[in-house]
Amino acid sequence: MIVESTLSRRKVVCFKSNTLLKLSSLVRRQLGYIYLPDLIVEQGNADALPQVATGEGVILGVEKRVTSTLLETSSVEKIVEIDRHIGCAMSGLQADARSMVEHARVESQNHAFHYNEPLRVESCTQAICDLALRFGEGAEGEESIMSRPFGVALLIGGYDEDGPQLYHAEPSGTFYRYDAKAIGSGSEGAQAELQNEFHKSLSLAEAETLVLKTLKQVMEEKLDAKNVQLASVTKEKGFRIYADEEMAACVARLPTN
Amino acid sequence: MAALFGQDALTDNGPGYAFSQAPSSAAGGIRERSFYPYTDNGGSTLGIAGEDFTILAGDTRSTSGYNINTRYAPKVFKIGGDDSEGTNATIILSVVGFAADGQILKERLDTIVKMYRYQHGKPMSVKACAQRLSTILYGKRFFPYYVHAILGGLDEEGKGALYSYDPVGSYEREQCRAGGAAASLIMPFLDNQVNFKNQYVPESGEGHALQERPRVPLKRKETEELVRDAFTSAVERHIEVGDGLQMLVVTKDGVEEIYSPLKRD
Repeated sequence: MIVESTLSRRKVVCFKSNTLLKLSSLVRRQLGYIYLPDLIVEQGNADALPQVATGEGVILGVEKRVTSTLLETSSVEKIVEIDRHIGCAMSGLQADARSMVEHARVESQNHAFHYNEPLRVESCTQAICDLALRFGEGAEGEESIMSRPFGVALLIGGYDEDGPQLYHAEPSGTFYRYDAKAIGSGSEGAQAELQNEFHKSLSLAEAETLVLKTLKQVMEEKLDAKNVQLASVTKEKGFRIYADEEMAACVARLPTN
Repeated sequence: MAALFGQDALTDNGPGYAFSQAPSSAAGGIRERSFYPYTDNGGSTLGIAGEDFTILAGDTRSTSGYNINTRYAPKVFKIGGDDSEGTNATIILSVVGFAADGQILKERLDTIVKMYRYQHGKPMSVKACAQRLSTILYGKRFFPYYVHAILGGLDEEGKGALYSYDPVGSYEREQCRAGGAAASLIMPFLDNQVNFKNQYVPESGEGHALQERPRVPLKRKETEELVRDAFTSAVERHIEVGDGLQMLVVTKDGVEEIYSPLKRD
């Protein structure tokens, strides 16, 4: 329920997650729903049944929209590392994502310090989402730290004792676990494509291809190794952003049409 | 441990009360007052890790100097159970030294382990708990919990795991450890009987050629006997140990509590 929304002053006083979709498109844009949506993620075999040998990891993929020929594409940073075993891709206000990622990194290191074990992916997601409701003044009238809610949605991929996992953290602070998820612009089409193509026994290489194929379908520009980025989280190598050569190899594997 | 507390039971200053019993007065009518925040409550603890079990034991006597506060004050606790009884707990903790600090330490760790389950949706492993206990202790580096803590449980492979701590959180995983008043009496016995220190294979040679007796994992029954023997001997030689022996045994089936009387003299 929206109590008050004065966007000119950049202040949303209160909202509930399930009413988010009823908000005006302006508010939704502020919340990062429509704003700069350009991202797809895909996961290779999430529920690793013991007999399936391909529960290898998570693939994150984003489109780097090149708005100018003068733009240095390597400066577009939409996939970041949270810890060695957790990575995240973002859609929305990237500046907001930085404080969320910073929080997650601290949380992850703190956990390792106190418990001598890696933080679980779900706990990490929960920690990020806890932050999402910290806008406005506190219940006892404490000074507010954040003037408005975050305007970015995250896809958090990681590998822990339960195998590879993918979470979607919404700006409202709710999160869900997915086998495959697309967010951002063109996400409806991308999600439908994922729904058709995803199966539990996807290998990591197949997942890479599926991510690129799905991105290709919803991208306005022609997909090449420069305007997309892939990252993976696997048991062996942890979080890893693909180098230029690997990107080129993955793109080359795509069926041409 | 007694030496650590600064006040020795045998000196005039009294046997480890928080307040000095006899304020000393100097010339000119200036009186010195003192407050000592720690008390040594005596008692002893002992832990042994086996192949698929861990035993933590402690006597139940609580003392202040030459007085006995109670003949039944537990020093071994279940950590992170479902209720106040510790039902379904898989981790155990023993604390000896200053009983009040021990009590609070146990309370804090128990709460943290319970919260961990809510926050992470899984029970805490002993390894994680061991690290957490260390950070709790070090968190009070400059006003420490005056206790010798021992943590027990089963590791990820189901093997017995035992961790022992100094009062400021330095810790180590070991096969066996004695703590408290009679630690110096029990530890050498354990070294010999658990780790077979100073035991050699007969006729295996002379001097450096002597072969050490190979270590074998202890059976649960004989370990329990070892613990009982250690304590009955300690009771004979240390005045702060006695009254009752409490043992907690962790196995894959849970935690079992065994109580048996000790001499009350």
